[in-house]
Amino acid sequence: MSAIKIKKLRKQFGSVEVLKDINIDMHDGEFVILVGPSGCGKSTLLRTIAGLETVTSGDIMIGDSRVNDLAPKDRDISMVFQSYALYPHMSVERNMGFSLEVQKRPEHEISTAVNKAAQVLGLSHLLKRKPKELSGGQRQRVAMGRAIVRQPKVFLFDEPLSNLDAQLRVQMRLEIKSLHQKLATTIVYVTHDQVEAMTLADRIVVLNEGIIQQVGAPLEIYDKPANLFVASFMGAPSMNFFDAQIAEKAGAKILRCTSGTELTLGSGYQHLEKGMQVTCGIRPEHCEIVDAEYQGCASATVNVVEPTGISEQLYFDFEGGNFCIYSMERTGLNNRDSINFTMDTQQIHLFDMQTTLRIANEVSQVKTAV
Amino acid sequence: MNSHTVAAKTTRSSQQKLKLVISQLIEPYLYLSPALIIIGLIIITPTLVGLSYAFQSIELLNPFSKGWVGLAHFEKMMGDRYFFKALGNTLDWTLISLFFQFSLGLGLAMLLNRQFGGRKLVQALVFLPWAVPTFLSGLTWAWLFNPVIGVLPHWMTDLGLIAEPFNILSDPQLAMYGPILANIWFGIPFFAITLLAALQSIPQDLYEAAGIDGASPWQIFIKITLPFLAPMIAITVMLRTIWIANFADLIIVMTSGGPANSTQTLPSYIFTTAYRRLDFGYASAMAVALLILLMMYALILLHLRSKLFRG
Repeated sequence: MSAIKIKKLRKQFGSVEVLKDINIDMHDGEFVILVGPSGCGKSTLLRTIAGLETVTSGDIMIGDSRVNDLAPKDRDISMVFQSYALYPHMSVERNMGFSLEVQKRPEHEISTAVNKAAQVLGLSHLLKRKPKELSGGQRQRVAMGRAIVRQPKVFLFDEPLSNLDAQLRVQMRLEIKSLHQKLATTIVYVTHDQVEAMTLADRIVVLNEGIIQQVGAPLEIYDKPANLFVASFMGAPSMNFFDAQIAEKAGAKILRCTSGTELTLGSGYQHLEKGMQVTCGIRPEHCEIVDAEYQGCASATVNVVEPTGISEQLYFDFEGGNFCIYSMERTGLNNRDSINFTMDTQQIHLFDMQTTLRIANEVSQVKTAV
Repeated sequence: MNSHTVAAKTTRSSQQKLKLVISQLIEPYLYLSPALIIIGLIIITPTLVGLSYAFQSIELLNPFSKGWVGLAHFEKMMGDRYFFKALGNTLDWTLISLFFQFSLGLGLAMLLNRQFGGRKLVQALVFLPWAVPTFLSGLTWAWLFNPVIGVLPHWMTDLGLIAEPFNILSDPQLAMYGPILANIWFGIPFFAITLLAALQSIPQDLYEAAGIDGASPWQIFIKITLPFLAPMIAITVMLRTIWIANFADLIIVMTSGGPANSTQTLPSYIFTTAYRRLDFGYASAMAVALLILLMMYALILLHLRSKLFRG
């Protein structure tokens, strides 16, 4: 049993409250990712689970035991640090076996455990080297090896890939994923990179300003962001937003933007009251460039075109905000070209302007209920 | 004619080449020359003059015996009971002072490396002994050992270390411990300041990682802290050994090498020989002997260090 339960957790540094009423249930063997912008408290949360920070109030349970007052070494966890925190004066072998060495386990046991972990991570040929003789990716792997050798109940990762270059990051991401599939140990993983979060996690916990914004499976968070913050934070390029009012036209509810542009409202939102002020969000991939003859299209002037090879991102102003279209086709457009575009109105997310919370879509609710 | 011009051209170009090579050879030394001249004038020249004194008879009280005497001073040294006594005292003085300065300095550095209120102030205060002129420290310590005005003899009596309050500086058996105690007090800040700097350069997350790995505080100290401090320890211990071995101020001020030469170390004996007995020749010879001993020590330590920290 290595589930983690966090109940009513608070953490204050002096008068600054960095974690406010955190409640999470992490299941045994689950890969949970804590994601959020810098200073959102995600690293602090991880460090309180590790025992490197005390909690102000609340409970942390690992398995069946309350670990609040246990020292890090008694929590049966291991941690991979952002800086790797390898002991520079020890060989890779000793680094990996350090947790067993300090327990004074017999030498053959240590070397068996180290060799096994080294094999899993492809480090067998590097065991005699010192950390400074390794590349970034290799150091990262040694840090993971040191964590594995202990066979802990829980692995904690603190932004482990942020010091690697982009290519290596993708590679290590895959390795971490396959490692989790092999070991099936609970992993709590902190990152600010939402691509990492989407690709690795079983469940994502989105944090902002010390408050949990949403907990859910990656696609659930992407498809149904609980509030404006989650909607804007998750996804790259980021979701487009504009303000609108619910209006009525020919017996159907529509969206009327501030500038007067009218958009059809998805069937799930027909229950909304006329006159309600909402913030609309639409992902760049749900917008499309069309010909000028296309009915109900809007027009704009391109500010920037960003080709990525596989796709193109077009930026322009719409409804007083920066708008982006993610096009899988090469449009051949240049800066200052005028374009016409439409949105897949069924894909528009609505958020309450006051509370910034998501307004439930009745159709998708029915779908999930079935 | 044609071949002439070619030949002339080659000579000219080879001459230019030679000039270039020479100027490239000389240039670095031109830049270095101010430093080289100063070093030559204020370090090398006095050293050579001092060395030459060791082979001459220079006694101010006996001005007519001037002249080169070869190795006579060194022969005299081999038969000088006080020289060997001073050598033994130098060893005691250096090793005891060094041991306590280092271990107490390391302890203090570890304490100062912890988080507590008013840490900056305490850090500044701790380094105060280093800033006090040694002459003043020596006088103060001498007074502290004086049973009439000082408190130490009374405390020592209370602790049962001595039978009744008396000045240990006047007891040939105990006098050496007076200056040694003062020297320990004086030298702790040096180790504390350098080792604290080294401690602060150890990344915090190594301690966190070791803590999570299950290491006890003692294991963390032995397996993480000490290996990190080792290069700094090696260099500071070497420097301090040489400085302490050369350091005569406290002894001169507190005991003047007495009573009955019982606290005479080599530097203080050299000082007394030169400035009390005014025998500069013999004093220089002893200084040369001390120099050779310390150089041997430094070479051995540097050799050990390069062996230990290779790679």
